[in-house]
Amino acid sequence: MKSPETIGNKLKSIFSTKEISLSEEALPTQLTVYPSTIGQVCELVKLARKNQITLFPLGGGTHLFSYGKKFLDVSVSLKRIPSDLDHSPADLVATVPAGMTFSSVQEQLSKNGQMISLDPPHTNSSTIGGIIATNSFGPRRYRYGTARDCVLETTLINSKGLAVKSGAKTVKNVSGYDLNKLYIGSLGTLGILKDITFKLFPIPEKRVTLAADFKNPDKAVKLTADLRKIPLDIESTCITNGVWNPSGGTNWTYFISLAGGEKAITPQIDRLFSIIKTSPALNCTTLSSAESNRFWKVVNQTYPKDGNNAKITVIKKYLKSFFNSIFPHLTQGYSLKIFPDSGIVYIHCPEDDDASEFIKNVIGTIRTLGGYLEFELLPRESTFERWPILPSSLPWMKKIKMALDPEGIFAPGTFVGGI
Amino acid sequence: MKKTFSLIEQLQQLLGKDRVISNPDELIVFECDALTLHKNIPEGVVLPESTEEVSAITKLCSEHKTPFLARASGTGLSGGATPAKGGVIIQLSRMNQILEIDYEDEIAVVQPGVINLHLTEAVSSRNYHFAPDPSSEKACTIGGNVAENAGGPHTLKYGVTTNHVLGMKTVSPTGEIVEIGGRCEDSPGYDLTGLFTGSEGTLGIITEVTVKLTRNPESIKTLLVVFNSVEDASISVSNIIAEGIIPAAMELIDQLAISAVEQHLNVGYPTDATAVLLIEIDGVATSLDKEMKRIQQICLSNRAMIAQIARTDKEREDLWRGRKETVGALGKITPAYYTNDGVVPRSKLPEILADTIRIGNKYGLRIGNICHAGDGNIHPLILYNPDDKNEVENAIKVSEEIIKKCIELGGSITGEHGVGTEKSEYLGMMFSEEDQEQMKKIRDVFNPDYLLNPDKIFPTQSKRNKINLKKTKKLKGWL
Ligand SMILES: Cc1cc2nc3c(=O)[nH]c(=O)nc-3n(C[C@H](O)[C@H](O)[C@H](O)COP(=O)(O)OP(=O)(O)OC[C@H]3O[C@@H](n4cnc5c(N)ncnc54)[C@H](O)[C@@H]3O)c2cc1C
Ligand SMILES: Cc1cc2nc3c(=O)[nH]c(=O)nc-3n(C[C@H](O)[C@H](O)[C@H](O)COP(=O)(O)OP(=O)(O)OC[C@H]3O[C@@H](n4cnc5c(N)ncnc54)[C@H](O)[C@@H]3O)c2cc1C
Repeated sequence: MKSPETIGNKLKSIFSTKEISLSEEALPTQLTVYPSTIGQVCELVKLARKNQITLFPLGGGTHLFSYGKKFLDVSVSLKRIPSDLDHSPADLVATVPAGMTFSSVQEQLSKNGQMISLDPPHTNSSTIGGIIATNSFGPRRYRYGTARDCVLETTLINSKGLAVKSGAKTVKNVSGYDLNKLYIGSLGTLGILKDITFKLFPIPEKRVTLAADFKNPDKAVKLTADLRKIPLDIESTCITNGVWNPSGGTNWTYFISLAGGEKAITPQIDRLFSIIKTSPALNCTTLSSAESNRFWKVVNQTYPKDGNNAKITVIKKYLKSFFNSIFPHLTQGYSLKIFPDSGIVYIHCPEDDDASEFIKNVIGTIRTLGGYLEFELLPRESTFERWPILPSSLPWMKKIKMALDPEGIFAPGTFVGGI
Repeated sequence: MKKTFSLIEQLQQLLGKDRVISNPDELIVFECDALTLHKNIPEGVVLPESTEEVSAITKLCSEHKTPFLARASGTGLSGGATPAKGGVIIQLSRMNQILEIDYEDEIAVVQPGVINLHLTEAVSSRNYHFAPDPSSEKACTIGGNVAENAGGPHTLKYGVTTNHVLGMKTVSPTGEIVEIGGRCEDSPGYDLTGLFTGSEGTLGIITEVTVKLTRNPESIKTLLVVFNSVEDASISVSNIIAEGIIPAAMELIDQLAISAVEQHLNVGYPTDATAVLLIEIDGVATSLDKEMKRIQQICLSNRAMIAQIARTDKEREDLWRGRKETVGALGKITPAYYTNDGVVPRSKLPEILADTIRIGNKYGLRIGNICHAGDGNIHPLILYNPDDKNEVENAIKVSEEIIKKCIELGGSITGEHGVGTEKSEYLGMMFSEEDQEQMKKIRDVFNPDYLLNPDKIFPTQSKRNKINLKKTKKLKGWL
């Protein structure tokens, strides 16, 4: 590995000293650059390729895995590149520079009553590029799906330092391969996202959130199937406990929000109430709009800074079996956030031997039921792999990485199976 | 004396003679898909019944360095299933089983040759459907839908095929069986399922697909709006979208198409109308009235003559039957037609439709317009006489000019039919050399020798796909 001085000297051909700094502790790189133009980013990639310098695309820095060591050379932040949104309200489409923060984009779009349908965590500091690169989502996934359902076009700086486009700025398009799908969730390993075009949605006229408490998660999960049977304009769902539960206590709270026209939503509240009543819920509350904002904030914006944090995906119908299997081993201090309609569960547990044993059990259960686990956060000494269960198509993924980044300059070793 | 068996002989050994077609008379049927302008005869057609057989076939073809491709119902409109370089067609119609339906998980696992509508029919009693609903749904297959990333009228609200595919089993050109995605909503690594969807059969042969099933809406309202001009109809569409109303479907049909439909199907479209919009909204019953009223208001303020909601299921079904069979009906008033699939940003719909008519007039060809208007995806159907060389050439020129105009307006060369052989020379209108290079690198990962479905999507320079001016054979069955 090259010394920061050697690399810094090379970077000076492209960047002023103000644009280069030592990387923050949390980053896996030694240096960070803050280009002022996309042209500099392209030049940097060319330089990196020629000199075998490894690059780490950096967004808001909110989703940095706890690498615990410096094994890459230069982080590339797009923060200082002047960026403007290109919004076409009549088409419900917007092209957004990757370095913009999510909340600033949503705020601008809202002036025309429109929004990006994603509701990822950390919206004040996370960037559009980071959100797409991590395939980040929130409870609104229930209605709108994920980035793969709303990204229409991307421009990426590829390993030759050239901007390449995939997709189109239209809601329908099948020309060429849909490389957008490859870039979504690729954690910056295929290139640096420059800008992203989204299909937008109108902001619903009214949103109402109901919260129901349950004694344990499998009972809550069961309600999901009942919700499907009744026509309701549900926008988001989430079941939480521990740090993600705004009401505190040991209960599991099921949050459901309805969204749509005011007249349509009001009668649905009663409908939803009556379904919840037939479930083993302990109570059910309709939240005021202030309460609802506060609650969603805790549900969606709380991220523990240490310990183990894992994202689990299981086949939807096995969620109940999953909880039956892990519930007896859950102890105080463990927190869960469940997206029941997608079969996704986030688990946070502290850093201790019991937690390690618990996680081993969880991984075993997932292997039996079919599914995957990804650590978002791991204690430094942990022996777990970030992705302990690998997909069988991994060899093809490796070939894709080889084809698009033959010199391995984009965040090598940071992705699934060592990609 | 030692004799090396030919590829066809080896395929016969593998599958039996009855599942290998090599008689030139029978091969003619496979010379093209529904794009009859591009044709080429394959050397042979094989009819596998399992993933393992597909694997053995691709292995043999690769060993013989013979091109091969998958073909399903052949309803593709861009030459995707045309054997551009000859070789072997792997006809997947015998792999037509629904392997599993799981209501608890809301998914189905199907073989690629399952007809689109058959899946919806299989789950409708449980109030589910398969959301992608191309107008060819009675004939096209789910494998073909995945390969083309097919859309349909209800794509506007429900998304295209890619939004409904979770995973698939595929066979590589060298016979390797690869499972991608799965039954879980998220799986780690690069999204190969998303990559394969819409790759037009050039990355692998799909032998099994896991798709999402969609719950039927509680209530549906279908509105037929009649206009005196295409412009008023298309402005209404743009206004509805601009207001943030996204109906389940919003289709435009113009006079020529209406008269063809009424002549042959008599479903109740007003024959004196210059254009009609078919607008459907669905969802929770209580949420529909207000939205429908607003849609009607917008249309009336744009000089709609009638805006009438279908009163019965039969009326609704008839309206849709008319839309879905427009192309077939037009086929009955012309010896041949050429379907364009351009896309524009939705606010540009009035402009592109006006241009379409102008371009048709310029070349003296009649154009029937149907379009997935809410998505900005137009389908001008250019009517021509295949025996008249001049008309054939003009039909192609009309389509090319329309596509150029779409690009000028910020659109795309294809919304759902794919690039195939038809538009491969136009790819450069949208993508730079480097953009294409990035895509080709991916093709080379999965299809390094380019034996699988060659000469598709990317420009071939040599323009191998010569336009065939021979008399077009009548298409059978599904039309
Ligand atoms: C411990 C922790 C766990 C989290 N877990 C989840 C979670 O499970 N699910 C979830 O939805 N959100 C999660 N988040 C929230 C997440 O931080 C944000 O939603 C967002 O995904 C990150 O955006 P960012 O701009 O901060 O990206 P960063 O944190 O800066 O980068 C995240 C990743 O994206 C890449 N990247 C960033 N910008 C680009 C670009 N322009 N081009 C290419 N690659 C780029 C980086 O290389 C890095 O791999 C978590 C956050 C933390 C701190
Ligand atoms: C009247 C009419 C109306 C139409 N309406 C619509 C519409 O509304 N929306 C729309 O999107 N399309 C429409 N189409 C186009 C066409 O029906 C679709 O593209 C359809 O998805 C093709 O399916 P198919 O089974 O006929 O495939 P084919 O035409 O047989 O093949 C199409 C392509 O897919 C590949 N392929 C097929 N099966 C596989 C497989 N198992 N693995 C890998 N590759 C495979 C082939 O190699 C070829 O490249 C219409 C066509 C007609 C004739």
